[in-house]
Amino acid sequence: MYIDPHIHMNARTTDDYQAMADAGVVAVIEPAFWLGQPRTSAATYSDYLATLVGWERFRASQFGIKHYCAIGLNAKEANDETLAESVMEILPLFVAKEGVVAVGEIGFDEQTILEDKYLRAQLELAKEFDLPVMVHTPHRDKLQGTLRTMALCEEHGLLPSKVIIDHNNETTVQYVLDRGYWTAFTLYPHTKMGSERMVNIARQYGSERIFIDSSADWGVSDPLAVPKTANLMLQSGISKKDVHLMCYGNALKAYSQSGQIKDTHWQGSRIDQNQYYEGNSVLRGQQPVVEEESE
Amino acid sequence: MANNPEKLAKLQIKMLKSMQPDAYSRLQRGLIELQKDYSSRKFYNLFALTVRWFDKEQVSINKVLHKKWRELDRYGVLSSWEYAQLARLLLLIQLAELVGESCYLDTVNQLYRIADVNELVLLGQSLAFIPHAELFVDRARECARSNIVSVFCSVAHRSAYARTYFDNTGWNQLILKAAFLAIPIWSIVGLRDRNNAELVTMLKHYVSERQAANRVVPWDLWCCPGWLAKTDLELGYLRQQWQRADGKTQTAIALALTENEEGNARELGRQLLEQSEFADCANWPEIAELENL
Repeated sequence: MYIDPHIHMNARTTDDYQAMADAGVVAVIEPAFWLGQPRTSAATYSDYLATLVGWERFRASQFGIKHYCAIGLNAKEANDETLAESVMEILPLFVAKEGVVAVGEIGFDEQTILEDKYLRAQLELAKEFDLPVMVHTPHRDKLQGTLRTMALCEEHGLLPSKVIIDHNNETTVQYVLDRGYWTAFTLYPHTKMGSERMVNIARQYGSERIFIDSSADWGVSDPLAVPKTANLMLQSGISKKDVHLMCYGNALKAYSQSGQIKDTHWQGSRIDQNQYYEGNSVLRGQQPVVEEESE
Repeated sequence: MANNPEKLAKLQIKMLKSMQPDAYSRLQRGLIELQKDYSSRKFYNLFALTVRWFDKEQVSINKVLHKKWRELDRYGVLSSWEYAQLARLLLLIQLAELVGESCYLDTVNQLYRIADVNELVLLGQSLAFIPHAELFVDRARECARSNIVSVFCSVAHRSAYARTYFDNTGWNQLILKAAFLAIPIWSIVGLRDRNNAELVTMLKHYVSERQAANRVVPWDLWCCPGWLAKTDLELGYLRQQWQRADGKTQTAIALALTENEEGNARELGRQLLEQSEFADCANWPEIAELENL
């Protein structure tokens, strides 16, 4: 059983859902993020957030996967102050919805003044709603951006145990672990982190407060990165217990602090493709799959 | 529609104060802050936070408040809510006092735009209780167009909002949509008061379509034509439908005719009821309890 605690399913196909379910993924967490091009109004941003708590959750359920999300204003779009101000106004309404397990993904991109401003505002929002924070660490100047983010979290009084620092690599992992944060790794073979490198990190640092995700999105990425890396870890001699923690248990523990995600949500749940969402089905003439209710 | 938001708010405050004192104190502090310096951002924040502060358990109404409560909540909607939902309704009522009509309208409309399914149900049901309810007919019409049964029912069932504020077009579409969604028609508040000839024609067309495709026609759809039938042609049509119907539908057609204001229709109703399989069923709830055939 796996959880992919960072994946942008909104950009993926139903084949991906099917493959993930077949590979043993039982739950996903989809953080709000950039869409590859900037949004031009808060209304389109709001519609996007609405799909994360609405249609996407339904789509996942049709393949037996529980869908949760993190709500936030991403770092790139924080640089459009007009948009950012309007989005910040409506964010509390989304943050309070069922199935929202964190404020995220938030953090730095270019580490601008506006990014700093809205990151701080969202850390306060997370505190107010007592939610964990999912942090996006920048691709450029990563170490500095990661250290700066942790400093901000501490300045705003967030407990490291409620903050997940994501997109780590060999240069950041020690700093993040040392300060007591959840330490997540995104498996992008050619940019962020490959499965083989992850195995080495697991060997060196163990499984305490470490977990992995695919962060699969609209770009070339792999929605099966978590189960594939889990298999590679097992083949490489990492213990079953450690693999379970890094690919399921730790993410569940970190985000269950929101009170919105529990393993009982997927234990005994069943697929019913006869269901509709606002009159819409994921099927296109196929025979609906309806699983028997378990005792 | 006996909508008395001021009285309801007082009752809600009494209840929330006694049942959820800590959460209510936080809400009250938030309201005082809003009174001092209102902004829509602060309001949304407070509206969102209520679900974190108040328990997600069903409201418990003590004996002292029961009678007053029942007067304001005629259909028992609020009694089936959770405290957090009640707190959100209180905020909507207070909002109308805090800001001008235009700001009130914009803010509630924004809540509709951002609502998830559960919140849409809450907002739909709230329409029967909030001030200036007449401003939100468009929002209620949207709920009445929804394919999500719970959202549709938030305005169709246990609420006099549609009866009071929908024009004939809106009303007729509501009833037709109930037939499409296969949800109970007989229990829609105001069904008899708002029944009209145009609706009956639309329903008859719907029946023709369903029967041409060999599909089931909702049994309770027949109350609308049954209550209004006057002419021989209309009565003949119903007699014909009665002949081809199952026992439950036969009883519904006959009962509707017995409730018609025209003597000839009532007479036909009596005759048909005597011959109906469930002639003992003297009212709509009893027929609804019968198994569909």
